[in-house]
Amino acid sequence: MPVYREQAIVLGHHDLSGADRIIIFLTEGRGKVKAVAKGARRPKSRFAGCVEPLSLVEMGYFTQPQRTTLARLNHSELIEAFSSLRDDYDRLLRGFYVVELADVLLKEGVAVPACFEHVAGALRALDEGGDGDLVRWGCAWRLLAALGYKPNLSACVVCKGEKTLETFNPGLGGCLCPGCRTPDRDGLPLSAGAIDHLRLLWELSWQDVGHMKPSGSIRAEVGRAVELYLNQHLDRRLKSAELLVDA
Amino acid sequence: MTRRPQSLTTLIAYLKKLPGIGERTAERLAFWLLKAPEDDVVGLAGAIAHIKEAIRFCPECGGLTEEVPCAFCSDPKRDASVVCVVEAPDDLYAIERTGVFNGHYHVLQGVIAPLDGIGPEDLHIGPLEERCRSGRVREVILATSPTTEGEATALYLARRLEPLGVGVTRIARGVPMGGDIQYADKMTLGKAIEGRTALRKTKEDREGARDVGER
Ligand SMILES: [Zn+2]
Ligand SMILES: [Zn+2]
Repeated sequence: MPVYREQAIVLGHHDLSGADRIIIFLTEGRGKVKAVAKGARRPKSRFAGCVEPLSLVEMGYFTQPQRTTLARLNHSELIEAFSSLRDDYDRLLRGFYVVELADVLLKEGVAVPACFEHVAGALRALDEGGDGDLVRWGCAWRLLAALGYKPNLSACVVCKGEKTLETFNPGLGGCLCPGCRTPDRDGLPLSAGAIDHLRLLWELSWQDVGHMKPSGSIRAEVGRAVELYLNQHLDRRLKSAELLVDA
Repeated sequence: MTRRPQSLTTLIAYLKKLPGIGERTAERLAFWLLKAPEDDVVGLAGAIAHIKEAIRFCPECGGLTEEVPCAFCSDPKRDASVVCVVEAPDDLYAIERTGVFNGHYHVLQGVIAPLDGIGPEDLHIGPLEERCRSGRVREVILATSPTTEGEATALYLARRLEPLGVGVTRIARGVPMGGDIQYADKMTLGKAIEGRTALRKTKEDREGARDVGER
């Protein structure tokens, strides 16, 4: 019966019958894990307050030989609650977006170590007061890159030329130069400034991502490009994204 | 193949739909009902059938009631200037059982849950906003659960209600009675320190507390 003890970000939970709860969390070593926390819905449970979504927790859990996917949680200790992120509705919603994104994009039991760092980094950036939308776009952009879907922003995806790039074509996985744009092979127009900012979303530290100050038009272009590209790789629309529309 | 009479199988199937009831418990309950006095069984069946037509949501506060408005909203002895906001009717009764609150209630019928796609427009908020606009309300106490979703709901409501000129407060979070500081988690203990109160209340505090609905 393999036992594990490692840091994890809580992505969400589902209630089971009785007082039990399934906790979904992201670890560095074993990727996304689903584990049953017995009695977690009782206020005096040893798990109470330690398995809330958007917290960094030390999890002790073991896998059960007869069950291939569902682990059992036997210990949880809160490391970081990101409490200032919880004091601001807008940033809290973006925190929910980040954990849902990770839950939807990442597969159970497949560890991509950079992903844990990206999600933890994004939550920390939100907690430190970073720009919520830039942080959530940055997180999506980095997770996709970590999963092997890094779009080409430095050369035309058709002719490989490093000339001026004008549009972003999510289907082709990168930018097109003016010469390669045709009516049936077009994309989202992007300014040079927006392409630079999209690159910075990969390169800067999380703290700097949260404090980039793009102009209104560049910000809009960056958001559109990330969301268009992300939708290509998602099976379903993120539920938390619907709340961002009218927030 | 089961040789159970059809009517018994149907009853067991319905009992199994109740929360926390599995096959074995459903069977036990069904056999208990078979042996129970006729009056009890007919009374139970009648009560179940009656509940759906008799109980409705109070249009004012969203609580459960047989009369409109409900007993809390229509009680002249309760303080209408303080409204305690809860997620569900069970929470309302839990607070009522404490005996320390004598204001009005508002039941949201849920909580903002972004991961389930439940947003503010899915909750019962409009009538609360209207009450706050009416000028009758001085304080709104947000008594949603101290979960991430409950906090999100409280933050949202504070933002929506504060501009209407009402005072918005949040129930304190802290170490439970009989709990040991050493074993409290970091978040609970941190919130307990932040939300500390004076041990000896000042005269103003006591009067304020009475205003806010102390019996
Ligand atoms: Zn080209
Ligand atoms: Zn009422």
